[in-house]
Amino acid sequence: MKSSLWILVIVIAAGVVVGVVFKDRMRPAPPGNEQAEFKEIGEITDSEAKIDKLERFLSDYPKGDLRSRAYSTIAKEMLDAIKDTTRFVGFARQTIEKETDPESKAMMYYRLYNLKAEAKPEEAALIGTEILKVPIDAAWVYNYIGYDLAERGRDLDLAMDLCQRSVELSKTREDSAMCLDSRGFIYYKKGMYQEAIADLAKSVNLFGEPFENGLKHLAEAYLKAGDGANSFATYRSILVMGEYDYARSAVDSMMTAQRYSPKKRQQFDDGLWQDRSAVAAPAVAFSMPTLAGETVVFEPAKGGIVVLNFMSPT
Amino acid sequence: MPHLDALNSKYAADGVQVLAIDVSGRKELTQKMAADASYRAPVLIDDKGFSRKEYKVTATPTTCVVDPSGKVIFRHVGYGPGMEKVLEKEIDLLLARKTA
Repeated sequence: MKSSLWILVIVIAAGVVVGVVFKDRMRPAPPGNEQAEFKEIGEITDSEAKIDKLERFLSDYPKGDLRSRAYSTIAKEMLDAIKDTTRFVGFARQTIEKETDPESKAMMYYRLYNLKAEAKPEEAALIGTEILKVPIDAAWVYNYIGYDLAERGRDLDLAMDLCQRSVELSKTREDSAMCLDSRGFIYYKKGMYQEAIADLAKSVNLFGEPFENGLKHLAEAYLKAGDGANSFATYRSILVMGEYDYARSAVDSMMTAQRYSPKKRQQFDDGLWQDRSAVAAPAVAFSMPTLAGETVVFEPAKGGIVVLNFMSPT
Repeated sequence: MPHLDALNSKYAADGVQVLAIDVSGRKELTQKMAADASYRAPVLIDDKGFSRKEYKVTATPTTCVVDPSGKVIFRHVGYGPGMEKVLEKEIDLLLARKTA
């Protein structure tokens, strides 16, 4: 054959080889943009239509990043809007069987657990036992179920196994912090205070910013372990974050037990305000429209007290 | 939010401002929710990511208490049972310090 024809054949053959090897990455671009489409589906108000679109979305984006969120939204529609528990359980079980995305599986187990936890707490533990055998690469679901069982004061050994697994599966600093907090809490519930303190102190250090619930667990563990000084210091650090009732009561009792004079109590409070001020960020001024279309201006440092509640509709 | 409305009415006479800021970017849903719950306090709309940038809001609800000198003296993520009481205590203390 002519050399130019050979070149053509070689180029085509090379193209075929590349296509076969990289076929997954070379599939035709999915219809539309994943993020935008998901947002659009979110605006649909009719539940059945929404579920339909979401199932279509899931098949359009088999390796998408929003799979678990799509499943979560379907769960919300079936459970909260349509209120058909049986339908959801069937859907969840099907998903668990055929899904490979760990986040999506975890989301279904999370929902199944919550259903049981409300209706039949004795059976909720069985979900915990199940996920220990199924391994799912999602630390949070083991953490969630383990912590919830422990909070209910039941199946502490199972809770411990679940939290142990969550610690092993933790990938990020945040994950580790949350899972160690849960495991520390379970040690605490089991009366193993030294182990609890070790986990909780580590957890508190791993969090990017002060974590009130974690500090609370730590303060309680110190107290139970007989370490009054550290307990007091930890409750104090909680008070720097806010006027939490339980922390205020705790320091009050300790100050009373140590016969603090009114002057010493005042010094304690002054110190609190100093520390609060030292870590406080300056509020940034803004001007925003309201739902009614008016404009509200916020100017800090004008001598008033302002409460800003950043929220989103549920 | 009923608890925000309660806070608003309790401290209105003391000049305490309570502002709800919707950061979801889903105005229609917020509108519906506000209508259903018949809020009295205004709901501000932040659909430009301002709160995320300037107030480091990553989870909702996040409540920031700003003191008279313009500092975010208290910041609470989440709104569990008892939070209203915590906020009231904090506002009471700040008001007492103002007059001290």
